[in-house]
Amino acid sequence: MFYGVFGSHDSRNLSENGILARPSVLSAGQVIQLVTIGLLALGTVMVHSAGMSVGVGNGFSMQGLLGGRHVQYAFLASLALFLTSRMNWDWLANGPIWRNPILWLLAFGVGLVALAMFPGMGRAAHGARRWLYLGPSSWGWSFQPSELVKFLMIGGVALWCTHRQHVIGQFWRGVVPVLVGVLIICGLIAVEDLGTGVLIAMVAVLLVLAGGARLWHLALLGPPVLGMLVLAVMFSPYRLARIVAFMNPWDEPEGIGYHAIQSLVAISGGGWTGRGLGYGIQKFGYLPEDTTDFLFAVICEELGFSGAAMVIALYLILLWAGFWVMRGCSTVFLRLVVLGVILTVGLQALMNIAVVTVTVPTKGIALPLVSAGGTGWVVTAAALGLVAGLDRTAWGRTSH
Amino acid sequence: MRKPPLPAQRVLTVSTFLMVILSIGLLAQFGRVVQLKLAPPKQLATHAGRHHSRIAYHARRSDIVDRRGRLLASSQLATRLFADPSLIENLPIFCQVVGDLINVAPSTLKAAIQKRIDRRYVALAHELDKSALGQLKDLKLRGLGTQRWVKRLYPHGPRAGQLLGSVGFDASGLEGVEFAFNRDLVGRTGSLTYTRDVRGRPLNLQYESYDPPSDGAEIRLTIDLVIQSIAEEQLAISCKTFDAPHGQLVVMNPRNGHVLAMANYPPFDPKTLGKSTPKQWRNRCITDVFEPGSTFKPFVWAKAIDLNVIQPEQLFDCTDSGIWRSSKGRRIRDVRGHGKLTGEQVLIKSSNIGMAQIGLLLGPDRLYHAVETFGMGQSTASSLPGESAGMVNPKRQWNHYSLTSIPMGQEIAATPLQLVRAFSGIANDGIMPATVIRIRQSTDDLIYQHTLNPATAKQVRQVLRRVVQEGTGWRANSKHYPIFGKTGTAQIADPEGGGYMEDKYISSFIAGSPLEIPQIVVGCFVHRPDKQKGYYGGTVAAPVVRRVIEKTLMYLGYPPQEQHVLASTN
Repeated sequence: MFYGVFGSHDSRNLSENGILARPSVLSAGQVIQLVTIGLLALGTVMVHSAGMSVGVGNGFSMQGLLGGRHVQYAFLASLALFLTSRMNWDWLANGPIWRNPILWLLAFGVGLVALAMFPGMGRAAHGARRWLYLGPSSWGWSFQPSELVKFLMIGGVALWCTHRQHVIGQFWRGVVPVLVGVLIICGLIAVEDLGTGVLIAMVAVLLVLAGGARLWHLALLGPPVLGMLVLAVMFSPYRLARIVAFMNPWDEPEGIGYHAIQSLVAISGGGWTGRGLGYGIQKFGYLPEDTTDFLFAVICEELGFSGAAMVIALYLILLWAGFWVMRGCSTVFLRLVVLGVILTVGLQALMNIAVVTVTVPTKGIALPLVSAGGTGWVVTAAALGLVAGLDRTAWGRTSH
Repeated sequence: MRKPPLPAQRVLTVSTFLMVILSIGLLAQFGRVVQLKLAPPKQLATHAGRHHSRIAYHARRSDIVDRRGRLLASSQLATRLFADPSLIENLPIFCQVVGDLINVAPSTLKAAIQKRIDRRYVALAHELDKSALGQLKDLKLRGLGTQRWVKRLYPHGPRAGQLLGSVGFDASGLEGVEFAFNRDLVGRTGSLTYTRDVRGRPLNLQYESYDPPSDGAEIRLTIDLVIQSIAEEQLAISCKTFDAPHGQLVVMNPRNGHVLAMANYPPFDPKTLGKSTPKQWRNRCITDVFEPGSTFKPFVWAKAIDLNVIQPEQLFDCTDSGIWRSSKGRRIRDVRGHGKLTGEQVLIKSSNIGMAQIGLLLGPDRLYHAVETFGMGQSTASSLPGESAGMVNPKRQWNHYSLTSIPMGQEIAATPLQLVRAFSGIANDGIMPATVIRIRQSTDDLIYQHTLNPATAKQVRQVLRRVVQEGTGWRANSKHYPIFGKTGTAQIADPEGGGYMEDKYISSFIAGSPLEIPQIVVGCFVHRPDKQKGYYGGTVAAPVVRRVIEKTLMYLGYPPQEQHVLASTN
């Protein structure tokens, strides 16, 4: 059913000597790249719109816009997207596991996460230590290691599932070691960033399941993980407050319910057509985190129904294009990697939007490729570029 | 045993399942957005209104002008300086700096602020001059603020002060014309509603609702500033000469009831409203009532002639002793024994005995009719605040005393304006005009009262002319204009109870001029003049009225008598 859109292995595209011909329509990989760039472009525009404020010296100029940090980030992200899509990743799963670069990079990333937690080493924002400075702190370039770990973890889990394929169906030898590793790393991240920690853990568990683990083995882990989550909430006053605020936002509209209410005001504001790009009101100090976690609310306010439809449609296209690429991959490892990437992007988008629409309690998680955040943009684009590069139908490469 | 699926196939199976779940989740979120767009929670409405701020644009309180457009009251923007004590960081320094700016001793300033330290607003200076305003901008002192306000100007100071009234702190009229026509004067406040950010700064997105203010309507009074000045000056001379605590003078055009001047002594400056008492700012021309005394006699006399109850040549026995007992035993005194007087002479000599006899001849019904016809006991509908309707007892409470008291201006009370208006009824050939204080386009609602037949009115004027020529009002006899009028020297009723106060009089004189076609009616009322210096209406009030009539008619351009003479000899 997707052949017409994505191209295929279908003999229609094979030339007479058996070399796959350039498809006549967009390939899945190209779709992924286009959608990624589309989301980045939307993000750049909307981050600038949401970042507007009243005051002298905050004038809007084309130079300021084009030379701004988020245009640089979007450029870097596009570059990463292009580069990773042109690389050959087939060697990744080969060779002894302990010499595999994914694991070393993962260990390095975890080390950086731990480093960022030490006072003085990293940049803190809103009481969370999630960033490391790149170069002198005066440059203002910072980097969020947990974003890197998010995608390295996919490789790590996929590698485990591939190399331990023969024991993955066993609880103690197959499932427990990898999940203990995942839990330790995610626990570390969750200290400063619960949303990302939960997201990484969820993706990892789903990958283990897809990689061959038995469902009831994983289900056994449910209760203790749930208990840990409850503890994490109980011992953190602001997380508890967020849940209370979610249950009863109208009790304290100026207090803990403020954020949720302002988000709803933004979404419902502007009506069906929206107030128009740049004409949002909630971003002028009413809605906190308007350029980051709550950017989707600003999109709904300014671009209206069509803006929301566009964002969700782009994610859906990205997901299914990724799924198509995955179908084309022949090895378990690559399939798991692709699945991990699209699950990460899709789940993160779903969690973010659900938070913004106050369907679930507030937790800090960005809208991938759209919310302000340089590291997230570059790393996510790189991961999607990798997926796009795995499209076996693309660019006349021979099929495996 | 089932064959386990190929690992790669299992990945595909699980991921298909996950894809579907994720897609459903995203689509559900889209549905949630649609739901929020279509039917937002009702509580949201209460939280969306804060996006807007409203600025009020005050309309300019309009001017009050005299009948010729001369400014009597106007408005001007001024800047007030105030302090917010809760924001002041260092009070001594604050007082030093601000004191320098507005030329007030820092210690005075400090005391003023400390007195109201728990408030958020302490006015420091009501009118900042331009240089102080300029310096203020560079000061950037916390706790100091300026506020625009509309200052009310009275360019002629105390001129017509009681009539104009004044405005309060919030620029609303409190007294007089300012109060009476406040609704027209204030205009309508406009507003600008704009979208703001969370700190209240305007976003300049779009001005959804700009509602321009509209200034009030100019109020044009019937007062003539020149005549008002003449009236006030002449009244003040008399009150000062005879040591009177207060006096009133009203000038009216008898043709249309326009009040040309309404003077009070002592004068009142509207600027000083806050520091004065009601005694000072009350417009006694309309608020105070008193027994008119002899000035009331012409009305009863005229009605008696008009109704054919008496004849001008009819003789009245006014006794040689000056004391007469009525049939019911009431003793009435004249200043001296007049003997037998004709009807005309009763009025010319102002005989109480003669008037009492006329009252008895009229009887209660016709007397009450006379009182009612001349507007006694009824408001003149000048629309000024605090206007009194005077006092007339209901007819059923009248007794024998009433029939003899009322014809000589006792047992009845009226305001100066009422008396002047009633006199206009005689001056205007028997038609008493409505009182007009404000000139308007429409005069449809003005009610003119028929009082006398024109011939009677003319006859009464001839008799009143003789009052001035040969009677008690001789001091009002002018070389330039034929004046007709009636004096009054009323005792003041004792507020403590029955009877009259010793040696306390209201000296009054009401007159009109010229005789044939009267153009103005002037009533002057001087309260409690020093008895040693004079207290007869003819002594105290008549000269004032004469001078006011002479100056006013000259100002209005009516040729004096000499010119008539010259013109006829030519």
